[in-house]
Amino acid sequence: MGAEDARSDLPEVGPMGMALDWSWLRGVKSEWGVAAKPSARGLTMMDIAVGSYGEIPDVAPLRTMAPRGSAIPEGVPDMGYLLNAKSDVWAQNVAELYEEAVARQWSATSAIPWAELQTLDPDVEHAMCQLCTLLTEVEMIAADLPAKWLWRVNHDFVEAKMFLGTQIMDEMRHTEVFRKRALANGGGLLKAGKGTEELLRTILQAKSFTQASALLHLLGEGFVLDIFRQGELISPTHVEKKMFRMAMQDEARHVAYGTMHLRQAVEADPDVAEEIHEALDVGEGVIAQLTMQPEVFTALAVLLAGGTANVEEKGFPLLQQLMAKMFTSYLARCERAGINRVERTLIPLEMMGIDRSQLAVA
Amino acid sequence: MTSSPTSSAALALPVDSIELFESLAKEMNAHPEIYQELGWCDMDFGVIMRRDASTPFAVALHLREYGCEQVTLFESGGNQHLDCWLVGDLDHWQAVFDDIAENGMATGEQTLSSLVLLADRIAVKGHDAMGVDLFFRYNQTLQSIFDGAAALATARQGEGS
Repeated sequence: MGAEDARSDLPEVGPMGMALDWSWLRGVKSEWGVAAKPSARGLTMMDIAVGSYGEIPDVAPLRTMAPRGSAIPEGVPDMGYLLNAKSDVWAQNVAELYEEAVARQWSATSAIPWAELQTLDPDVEHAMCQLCTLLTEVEMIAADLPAKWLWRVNHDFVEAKMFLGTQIMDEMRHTEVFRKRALANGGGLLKAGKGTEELLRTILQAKSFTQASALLHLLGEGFVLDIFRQGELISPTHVEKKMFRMAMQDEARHVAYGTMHLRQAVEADPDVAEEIHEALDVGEGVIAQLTMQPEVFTALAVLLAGGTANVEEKGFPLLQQLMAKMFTSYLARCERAGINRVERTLIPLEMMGIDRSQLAVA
Repeated sequence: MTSSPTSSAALALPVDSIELFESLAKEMNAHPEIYQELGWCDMDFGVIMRRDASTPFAVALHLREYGCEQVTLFESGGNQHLDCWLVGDLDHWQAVFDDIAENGMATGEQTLSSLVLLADRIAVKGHDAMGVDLFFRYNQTLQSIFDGAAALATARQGEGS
């Protein structure tokens, strides 16, 4: 339907005397006839990325909440968005990750077989509760940070905003599930951490979204993903195993977004790499302190040893081995994001038994 | 940690057989209520079992939506069509399935995630990091498929009695 299809049959003035606008009835600038077709899963965000609706601008032309692809009248208020370039927030897989997040939501109330929790050795229960205290403390940062930036993201990048919305929900659920586990078996919440709070403040105070994403998605959530993987390994029962696996799935999605977003940002502007490096220079120091924090280290070691009896013989060596893997996988993620940290990292690799030259070769 | 199967809960099918994986696929497809709750899972996932003095056993599960569309054998090295795959010696895979048959689900170090984290028996591989990512993003779905072997063990015991 084109603009030439005038509707002279419709009134120009409404019943209360106001001028009427029927231009939308002629389609304005819409691509009339371009119909998004559902795929096997239903009508996904990828399915509706048709015609000009699927074109993501490199720089948003306006700063309004008007939907991308709509006809925007003159004089629409400026919302003051700060993130107006695609490279500020986009990731090539963001629409797929959003759909995946929506499809794979779960309930901390009903998805975990809480009724099957078992009475554990008191030392192991304490260690699990200490780990859950830490995770309850850190998980909300991954909701607070996207929430802090969300309203500053231009509405033209709505898929990225939607994904960040799912991340916020995921992290609420993680806070919930670890708090529930701490309280469900008689142990309760144990010691919060000073070092933990310093890391959280460093992330929250990042100057740009890209720096924040590097600190949160690449560094913080990458490490938490590895802690979830360790948690699954050291879980005393199938109840905790499922809890960690479900959380791990969500966290891997967030890390996948962050990694691909940072790659996109660096490809669009190689100078951004230095900005990311600077953030990670600070973040790595804090996270190294966090992993060495006595209450974190000891709780993980007790869980790995299956109790306090073998903590020195089994717990410490295994934890050291897993921590080396954790830092190695972090450096691999950086590489994948287009940020080579092998030479620059401030993490004491040699102290952790990681051969820097091997990483450089890899 | 490895578990010895009890005589009452062992798999009748060899772990390095397409029949076992077809049965796992059938079990998955028979329980949409489990997989719909977990969310869709689209991936081509491989399992490679190294065997002494024999070609490796390599099988692919083609997962779509909430089920397994197809199970296919592939030659080791012919994994271009896969997102990611797990590779380990046959005896380690035998231990995985024995543990599931005995306990009704994977336990301790025998879960897929734990094995991959330790990486001393079974490792995850992919053509790129995006493919390997799927192992973690769909981990509960994959574990549930493997845990389906417990129902096969029970069912076979029932059939034989």
